Amino acid sequence: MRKQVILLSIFFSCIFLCKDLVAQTKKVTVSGTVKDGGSNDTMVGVSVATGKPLKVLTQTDSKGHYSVSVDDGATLVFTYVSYGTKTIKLNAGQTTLNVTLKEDNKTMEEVVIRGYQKRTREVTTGSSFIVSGKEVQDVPVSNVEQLLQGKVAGLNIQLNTGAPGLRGTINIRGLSTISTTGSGNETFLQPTSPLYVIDGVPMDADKASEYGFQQQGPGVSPISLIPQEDIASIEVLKDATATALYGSRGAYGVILIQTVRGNSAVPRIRYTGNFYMNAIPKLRSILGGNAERELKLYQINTYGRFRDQYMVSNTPFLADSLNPYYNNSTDWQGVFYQNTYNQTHNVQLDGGDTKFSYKTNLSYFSDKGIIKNTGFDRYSLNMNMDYKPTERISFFGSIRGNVGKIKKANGVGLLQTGVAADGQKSSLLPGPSFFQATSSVLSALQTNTDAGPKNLNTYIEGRYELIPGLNLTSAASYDYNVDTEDTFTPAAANDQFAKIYSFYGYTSQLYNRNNVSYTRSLNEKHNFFLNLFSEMYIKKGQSSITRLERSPNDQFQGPLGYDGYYSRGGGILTSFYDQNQISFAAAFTYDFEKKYIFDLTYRIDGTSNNGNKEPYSKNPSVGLKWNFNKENWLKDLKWLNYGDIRVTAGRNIFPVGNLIDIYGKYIPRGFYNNNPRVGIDYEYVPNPLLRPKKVTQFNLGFDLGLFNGKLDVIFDTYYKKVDNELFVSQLSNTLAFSKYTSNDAALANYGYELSFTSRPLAKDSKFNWTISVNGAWNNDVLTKLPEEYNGQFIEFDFNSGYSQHLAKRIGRNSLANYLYVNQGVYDSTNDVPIDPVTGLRYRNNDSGDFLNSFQGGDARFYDANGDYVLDSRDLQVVGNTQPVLTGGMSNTLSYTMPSGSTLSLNIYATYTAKRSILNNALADRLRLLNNPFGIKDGVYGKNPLTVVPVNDLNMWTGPGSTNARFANAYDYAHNAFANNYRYEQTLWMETGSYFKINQITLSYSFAKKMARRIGLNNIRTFLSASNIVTFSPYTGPNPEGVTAIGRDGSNGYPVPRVYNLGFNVEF
Amino acid sequence: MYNILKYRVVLFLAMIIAFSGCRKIFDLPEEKDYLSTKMTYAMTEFSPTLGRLNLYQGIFNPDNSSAPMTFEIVNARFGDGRSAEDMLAKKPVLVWTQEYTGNEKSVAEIDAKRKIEERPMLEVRPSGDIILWPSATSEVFKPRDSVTYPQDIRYFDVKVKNSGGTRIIKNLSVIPYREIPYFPAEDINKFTGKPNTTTPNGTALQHNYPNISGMKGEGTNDDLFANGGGLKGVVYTYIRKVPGGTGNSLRFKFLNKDSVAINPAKFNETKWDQLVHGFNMERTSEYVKFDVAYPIPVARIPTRFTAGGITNTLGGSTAYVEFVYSRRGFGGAREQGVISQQFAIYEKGDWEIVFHFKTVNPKFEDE
Repeated sequence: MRKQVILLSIFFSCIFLCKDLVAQTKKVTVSGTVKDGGSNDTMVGVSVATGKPLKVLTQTDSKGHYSVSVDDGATLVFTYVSYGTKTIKLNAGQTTLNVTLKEDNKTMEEVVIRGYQKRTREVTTGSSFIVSGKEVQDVPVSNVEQLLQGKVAGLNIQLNTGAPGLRGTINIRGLSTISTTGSGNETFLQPTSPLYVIDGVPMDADKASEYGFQQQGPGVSPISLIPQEDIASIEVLKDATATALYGSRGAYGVILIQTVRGNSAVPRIRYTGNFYMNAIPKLRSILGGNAERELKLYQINTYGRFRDQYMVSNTPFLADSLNPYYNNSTDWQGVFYQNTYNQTHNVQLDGGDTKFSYKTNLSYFSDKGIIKNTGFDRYSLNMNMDYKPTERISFFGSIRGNVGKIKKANGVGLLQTGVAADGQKSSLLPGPSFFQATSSVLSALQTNTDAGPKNLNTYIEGRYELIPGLNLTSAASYDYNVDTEDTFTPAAANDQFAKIYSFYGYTSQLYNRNNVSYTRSLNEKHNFFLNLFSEMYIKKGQSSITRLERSPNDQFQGPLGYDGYYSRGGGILTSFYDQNQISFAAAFTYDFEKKYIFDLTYRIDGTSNNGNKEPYSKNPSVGLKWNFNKENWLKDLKWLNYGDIRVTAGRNIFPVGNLIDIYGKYIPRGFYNNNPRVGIDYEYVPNPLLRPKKVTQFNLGFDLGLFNGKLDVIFDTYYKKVDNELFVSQLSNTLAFSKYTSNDAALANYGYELSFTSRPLAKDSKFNWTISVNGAWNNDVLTKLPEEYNGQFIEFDFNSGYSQHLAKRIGRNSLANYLYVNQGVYDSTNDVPIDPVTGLRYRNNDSGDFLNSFQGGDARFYDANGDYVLDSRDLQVVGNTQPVLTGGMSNTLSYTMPSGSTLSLNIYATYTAKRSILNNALADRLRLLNNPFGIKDGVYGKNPLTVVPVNDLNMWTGPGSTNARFANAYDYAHNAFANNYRYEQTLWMETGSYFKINQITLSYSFAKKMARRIGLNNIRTFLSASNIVTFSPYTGPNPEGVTAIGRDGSNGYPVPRVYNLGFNVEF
Repeated sequence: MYNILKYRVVLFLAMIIAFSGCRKIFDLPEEKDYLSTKMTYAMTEFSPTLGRLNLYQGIFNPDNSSAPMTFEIVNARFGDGRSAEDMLAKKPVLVWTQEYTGNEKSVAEIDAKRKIEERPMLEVRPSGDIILWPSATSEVFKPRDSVTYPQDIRYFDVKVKNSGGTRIIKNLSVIPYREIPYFPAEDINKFTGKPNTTTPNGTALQHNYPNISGMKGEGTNDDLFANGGGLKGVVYTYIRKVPGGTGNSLRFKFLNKDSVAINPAKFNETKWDQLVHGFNMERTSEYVKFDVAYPIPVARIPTRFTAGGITNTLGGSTAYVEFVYSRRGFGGAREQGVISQQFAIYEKGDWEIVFHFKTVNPKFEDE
């Protein structure tokens, strides 16, 4: 025993004392200036370190000077974020050392984060991509996600709404779900956003949007609450090894966001201001005034039946052209749309040294929407601090407080149904004016919403180095989010009775992580890294609503409740959740001379969202990497800077299903013996065997750095299998329950990702030119459905009026359309096929009515089953609602003037190809011609609709229009029988390919000395524009402004074009 | 250098193998046409009338199976297992190639729009529709009687196929009625084909009656009815074959109560050219005869010759004739007498439609 104690003490003494045993040598004071190799400016805050392990001695001051006292002949290491590290060994007796640092563009030396641990990219096997914070500035956005569009191969972002504060869709590596809710244009694909981890705190970005378009509440994602100025870097993790350690929620990929840290010896104040204009994109052109009436009368006179000719005189808006009420030319779209001018301001204070640093970011963002009475404002205050009293102990703490305010007119945010309906009104009707109000206009413009999330997030992390290489870390965070919405609709806008809606919801997340990691290196050859941690979440959320359908008057806007009859209650919504998750994980990495790397992770996740029969799931991953440029036989290749091949495989889960799926729903079931009783709801049968979604991924990739940084190539190919996808099956009507939620669906994605980055000019050139291009090809395949469906499930849509069904068929892309195939137009009636048996012409719907016969000028629908009747038996599975090819490119050119000022031009573009979208906007436009009388509820002239000119379309005009694509839209009387412009046809299915110039930024950085002359440290000004132009064969308004399953409804929120003037000023 | 080259080549080849042909490596399921297990016929027992076209359309519910599919009748048999393949024998039938409009100017023009093809008497087409062509007659099919024994019932199965597989829908059956060559056919017993009686084995015959309006009886000066009885009038419609001829004619004839022909010219306001879709009208003092195409109507398409005319867009299954005369009534008012008949004739031949004023003759003379 004593011996052991002695041995142990000797061991520890060695460890702790060895530093002091180093022989004493002469000290010298070295000083110098650090400059930026590109701009030749002096650099503030560059760390100067020496020793082994490295010990930071000082940072450069505001003039770029440093002065350190070191051993004679020591090695100095200069480091600065995003600049290459410079290591210089002092000559004996050297006391001055001026250094220039170069901006670091080498992908391999980036610091990446794996399982909450910083590692260099060179020794990690996973697939990831880093976007620096600089790339997401310069265009003011409410949601920083949209600036990642096209920057990362395999990260598919579709900016499908322009609604301020709301998000588009985001997917990493294809489709992760086939679950849709809603119908028609509002068919909503369950969002599968990646997990965001912000400074170590996981955050669920889908929180506000998982309940579809018709969700309750403000619907602002927490990701919209992060000011872009506060972001230092964003890392996108794609394959299973990279995301393995984020296990229980990492199945859809992980995006890590690092916020800015204090990094300056001298306290700095940086101000960013943006002044920008949201411009209305091109709206549809309409026929105004008399042109509209003339066209309607032409239709009726040419194609109308006898009674129609007579009804003209009974329809005043057609006949009574001299009546001032019907003699207008109102631009209804103009009533709702506006150009807006907005501003954002951001102040960032930071400072500190290696022992203590701090950062405070104060931000105001305002975005008034292009639809009146919509907008988003955000106020945020984010602070963090780093405290390192000694080398072995460090603390990091942050607090983020954000308040968002959103105005949604009378829409639910993503959709502006009210505006869309009003935008279709006839131009003959008088517009809203002082004397004339329209209730639907009032409801869009006067609905008073006070809504938005309020979010508070705190985080603290402590780290202690027990012995060199062995670190203990413990972190905890608490996130509390309150969503409220109070909507008041005045009486004039709602059939003479004011209406009140109120929503309150909260979500909270308590998160804890404890971590032990150990690094060890043997002979500089064998390197080991071991990381063990546990993770725990407690998540709660509940929201409730109350509605008062009729309030007594416009002055009574609350408190709610004066009359039980008109109170619609609402109560607690089924979005209620109470989740616990606990995970244990281990990661082990071994590398040999950084040449061969082996990664192994293992994670056990237990979540309360699983059925209670199988609460834990086990998720391993393995990764191998070969840095072949380090091989002796390739070492001499000058043009090869780095090269590696990566192979990884692993599994992740994502908890799906909710408490109702597992335990059933219990509801009040009337009275028994005068006592209220509670019983199960027979809609869903509980499934205690429900498992989390399981994503298994295999990845093979290589990285190449060629010609001394002139060309970087990253290539990945992957196979991603999504198992245990939730699927709701209908049960036989002989059973008590009607639906069953199972894990019996599965899909797979496979694809390729390629990124090129090139800096073709020499490093010492005055010009700096960077081009990068990336692309991702992803195919998804449905691999499994519940057995009883035998390989195909059609999600019918009969209630929305669109009848655009979704087909899910095994072996095919998971979400296809189920439509009639349109093959053009019948040139003449003789071209319509005749049933050889009966002699009847090909007919629509059923063969009973002669008027159903197709004729010249009608759409040529494919009669798939050959019965000469077009009915639901002729529907075909067609198209792919998901994009196959996505990517982007950027082009940055900067020029450093002799004065030291820098001018740079940035162009970003994104593209999407091979996707079918349903152009319902065009369908609506043509269908407007179906009703020249404005018949609604059987009343002529009740709802006169606008007319959109269609003469730009290749439409049938008479026999001889052989290549016409569109049937005769003017023949409304026959269209009532032939239904040529039905929604469920491939005529609307167009390619959704586009190439969009996202963003152009022109910026000018004043030379430091010029800035100093007016007492500032740095001035930069920039002009930017976003959503500038989209090139697309698509005939609708915007191929990107479509829902996640590719429906382009006319009630979406158009994406505005933004012109911005901004300043960065550093004091 | 040689070594490096060799390594690079190996590396390159390895990558090509690794990065290509993924779909095969992953063993993903191939897309197949969907063939539902729940596909079904809404109707499995067919009771067509022989000798005319019977098309059962829209009776197959594919349950979203992928069209096009191929259909085949297999295992044609009687209830006791004997083969019933004879009902699948091919016989010539008329199929349409162009649309019949009602504006054709000759029988030849109508016949140019259809052609003769050899088709099985019982056929299933790619939509699952079951067709019993007019070529199916009681020579092959034993018509149903009031009692049908299982051993006499013709059963068949339908084999449905697409790239998703094959399914067989079993036990469809045909229990036809005997030929009834025209409509209305109140006078034919549909089981025996003999004259129909009001009661089984009775002696009181059933008859077809035309529609009559505005006619006055000769001698009674009272309104004449088609089925009034006694002095109110009884008028029968006979639809019957005339011996001889080319098999392409139809004539109309009127008989008075003595069974003597009334001159059709007495129906002086009849629109003879719009009476039937017939040509080469031959009007004698006994009858009016047209060359026509059979069946009548040739297709279920509303024309000016069918009941309800073209505005009856759901109609077209029966032809309609109307004979009109006018006379001066009491007080000098013009009175119009109309006798009309909806009818259809399914069998090609030389037919006549006879209106027999059984008890009271119509009055043509002015007052």
